[in-house]
Amino acid sequence: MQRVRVPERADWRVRADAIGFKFHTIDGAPYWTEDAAYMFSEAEIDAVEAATAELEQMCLQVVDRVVREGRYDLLKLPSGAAELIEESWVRFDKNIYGRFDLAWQPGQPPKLLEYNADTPTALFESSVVQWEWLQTVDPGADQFNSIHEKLIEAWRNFGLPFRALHFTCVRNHEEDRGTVDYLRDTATQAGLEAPFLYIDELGWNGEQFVDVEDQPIQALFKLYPWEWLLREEFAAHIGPSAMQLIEPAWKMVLSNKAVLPLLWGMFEGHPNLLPAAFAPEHVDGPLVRKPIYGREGANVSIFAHGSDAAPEHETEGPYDAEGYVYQAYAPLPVFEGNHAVVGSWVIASQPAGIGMREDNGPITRNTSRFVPHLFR
Amino acid sequence: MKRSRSIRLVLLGSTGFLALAGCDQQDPLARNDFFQSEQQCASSNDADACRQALMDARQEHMRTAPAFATAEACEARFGLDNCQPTTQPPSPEQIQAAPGEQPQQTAQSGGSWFLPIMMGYMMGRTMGGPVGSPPAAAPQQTARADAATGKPVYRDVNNRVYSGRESLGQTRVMAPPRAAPGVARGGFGRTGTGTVSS
Repeated sequence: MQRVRVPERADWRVRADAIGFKFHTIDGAPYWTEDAAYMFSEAEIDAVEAATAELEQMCLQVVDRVVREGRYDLLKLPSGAAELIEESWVRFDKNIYGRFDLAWQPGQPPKLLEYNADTPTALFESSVVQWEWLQTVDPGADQFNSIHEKLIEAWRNFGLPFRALHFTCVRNHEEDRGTVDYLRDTATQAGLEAPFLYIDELGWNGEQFVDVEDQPIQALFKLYPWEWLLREEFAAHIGPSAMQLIEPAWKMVLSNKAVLPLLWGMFEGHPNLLPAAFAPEHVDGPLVRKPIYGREGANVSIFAHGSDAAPEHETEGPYDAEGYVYQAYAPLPVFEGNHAVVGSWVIASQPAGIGMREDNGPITRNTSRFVPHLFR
Repeated sequence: MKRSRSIRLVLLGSTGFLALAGCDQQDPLARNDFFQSEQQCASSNDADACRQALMDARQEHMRTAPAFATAEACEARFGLDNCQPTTQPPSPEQIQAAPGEQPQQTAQSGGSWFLPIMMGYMMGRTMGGPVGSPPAAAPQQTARADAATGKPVYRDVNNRVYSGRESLGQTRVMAPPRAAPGVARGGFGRTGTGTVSS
């Protein structure tokens, strides 16, 4: 794993526009950057692919155990969640995607930092934008990225008993809308109708959820966290509506940071896991405190000298209400001052590719930059 | 090889294709008489015919495209950034508004009506020969300028594609959404005022 400087393509903004990549610059700051790239060996890519497959299988076993043992109390879930999780797991509702964030020091096994299992983004840039980059700068090289093909295949195999799958996200959020539109694009190519509506446009007619034309919605992809849906006015209608939701409710077990101590409890010592616990005294050495429902690196504290000393780094945010989990600190590798995190994708629970992000600080935030990768 | 062999986009971007892949029967945009630009048309047809067809399509667009009193009403049907104001007054058949509703005089719109933007055009072919003669057995491979007619093509917010006058016939979709009694809305989305993604 190396960070190499490469010349930026003079016309990359034009190219980005042509493929519909609208959020390459966010709030005036660069998000897509191509003056550098990460270069891997084939063996390294095989290792991250295998680690991703194992992590996903371990995660599915955690869901199974939580459901079988009814340990929903550990997850600090909103009311109504446990039933929906159980129903969706027993039906084995299919899932489309997820992203593991990995700390990967060269020469060591990649370590799971967290699993974005419910509402991951950076999908389009991983799947299409870095592919288009490689296609123009080094078409002879390879890239760990068959996300696009796997998405279309996954939608084809989804087995929806109806042709229309609605898609939704919040208003006024270009990145989320871009992610949803990309998923709609792949669903369309798989032969589905993929209409869009904003989350606040969903209607309830007393029996069914309906679209803006009052037509019933039978299946809905929502780029909107489950724990938010369940706190809102229509929450109680989800079960009775029989509308199929994607991601399915059982993903709530995995998008929750409580999965980290649960994984460690079941698979202690696994090379791709970090020690994690619900209390700081059960994690030795430097540790990180993460909120149970944290997003985008908010409310994260790094205690480099143990939990008795003051935190070395800390981020602010709104996500501290449900409590915390504690995880051994695995510093990100630093290349020329850039802290690099590997986002490893699963599509329909199969490893599908990676996207690299960099940040100036040790905690990856929504201000981090996307950098393409390749391998030989 | 761990990379996608080819990537095609059907909704995003202006190119449509990053790399050519197989033809998808279900995709109306994959028809061989549909073009997103004059240049694209001219790569497989006579350039004059392509220009003539685009001009025809634009005229047809001005005559027949649905016209909305506000940008918001138009975008609700055709999507963000998919509408533009027109200085030409629309005909009564084009207007998709309540009786008597008129565009507001604002600095942005100047009191204009809003039309969806054409996403491309279809190259129609008129059959030559005297009136009453049987139609040609098969359309010709390459359109000639004197035979070209064009029809505008639109895509709505739900990704349905329409062509020219036919779209105005489909009032089920073109009609403004009716609020049926008994449907509650706004029961989701309250938490999502900030960032969602992770």
